[in-house]
Amino acid sequence: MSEARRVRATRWGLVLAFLALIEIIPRLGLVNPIALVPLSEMVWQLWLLLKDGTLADHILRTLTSIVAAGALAVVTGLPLGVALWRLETTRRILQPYLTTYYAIPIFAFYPLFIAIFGLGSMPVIIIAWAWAVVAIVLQTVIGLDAVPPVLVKVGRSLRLSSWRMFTRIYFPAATPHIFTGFKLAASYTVIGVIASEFIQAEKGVGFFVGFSYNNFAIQNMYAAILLILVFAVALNSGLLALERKLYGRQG
Amino acid sequence: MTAQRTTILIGQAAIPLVLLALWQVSAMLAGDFYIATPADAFAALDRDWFFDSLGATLLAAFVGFLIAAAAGLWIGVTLGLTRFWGKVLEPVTLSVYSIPKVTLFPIFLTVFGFGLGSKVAFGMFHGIFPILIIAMNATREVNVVHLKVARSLRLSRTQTFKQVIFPSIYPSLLTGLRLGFSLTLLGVILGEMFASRAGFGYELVEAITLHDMPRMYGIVATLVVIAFVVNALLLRWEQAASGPRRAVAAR
Repeated sequence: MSEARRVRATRWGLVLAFLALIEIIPRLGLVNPIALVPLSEMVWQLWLLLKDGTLADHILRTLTSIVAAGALAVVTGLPLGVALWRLETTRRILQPYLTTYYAIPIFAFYPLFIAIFGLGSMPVIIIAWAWAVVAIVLQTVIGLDAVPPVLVKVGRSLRLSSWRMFTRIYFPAATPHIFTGFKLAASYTVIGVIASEFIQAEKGVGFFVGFSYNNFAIQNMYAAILLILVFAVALNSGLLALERKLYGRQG
Repeated sequence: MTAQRTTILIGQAAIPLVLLALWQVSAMLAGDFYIATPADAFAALDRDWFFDSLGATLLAAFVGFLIAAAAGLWIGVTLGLTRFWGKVLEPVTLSVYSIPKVTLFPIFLTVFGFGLGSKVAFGMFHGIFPILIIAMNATREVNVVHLKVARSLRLSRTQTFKQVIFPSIYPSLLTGLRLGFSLTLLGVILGEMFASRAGFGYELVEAITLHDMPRMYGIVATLVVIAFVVNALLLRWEQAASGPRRAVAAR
């Protein structure tokens, strides 16, 4: 077996072993049955919840918020990144603040937005957007900074207008970094939306987890957690695979 | 050049004032039912609970961070040295890093109980991943020749770590620790919001329940200041360790 295959086989072996443990430990009664549910019951319960439509509304709400916040982050983050790249002084003024931005516990702001906008999608989308947008801004600046000078010289010697310089040289050359920004933004958006819903909301998959927990519906809680984990891991692996395929490098 | 430097320094010093002014103006526009003014928020930070909460939150964050740092460093270096296991587990750690961890909080609550245990564990769970991932990647970059020299000098594992690995990964490790501390603080605050009778997270939830706007804004502002100050100190240390290189991190 080649090393790559051995690595993959071992990884899957470990993952399967972990899943098997989640199945076996509660079945053997090693933990309190209200603490952990066997994996097969989580899957079955998730299937039931999906089939009878209990989760449909929550999933719809969560996905809508994720798409809205993600789209908003792209639409605002790209222009802000380009502007910051052009405005050297502004960028240097903001740099220490941008570097510390992700140190701020953003979820503390969530109650403030609930107080202003009321319970609903709005505060959720704002939190998720605020967390995702800065990753796009930073990666856009980094990407545009990293454009090889040779490409810029080619553009100059072709006497491209500054608009064309941007659309034909700078932007395409910066896309690998910008894609990394999108990838980060995607996982930040998902975390932002689901975590906010969990903290306080009236709908959404994150809300459903907390709601089930508070009502001792442990099976429902684990079913929803399972759905969230599968979704987050699938999205992340999908974007990572896409990035490798497009740009042939590891994020 | 010096004129530009002055502009930048003045600009950087002005940012907090600009934010404060924006806060004041939005409070005046929105009214004190929605947004408390900075003065009211500051006045609401009552000596009765403020220092107790500060102590509780910082203690939990500090303990969680120490465990995350020690465990993350140990696991990261081990995985970095054993290339096979590093390759096996890297995607797994990246996946766990990118999931919405908040939804797993009920599990922490079940295992560690209400109070200090679960919030420390939850903070640690948030903080360990950047430390582990960065330590692993930095250890892989350690010069192979240096490791061979260590082996031919028959250095013990501890000596090899102290004399060869640690000095080499130190600058990157500081980045990991900085990111790790921010996330630990976030994890602790979230833990306090759901299951604690002490700390800023708990006080924040209390203030939400009572619709005590000044206190909410006071707590959030305090958290932002703490996160910013700690991060700025760690960032300064990091930059001193790695030389005058530009430090723009998207995470």
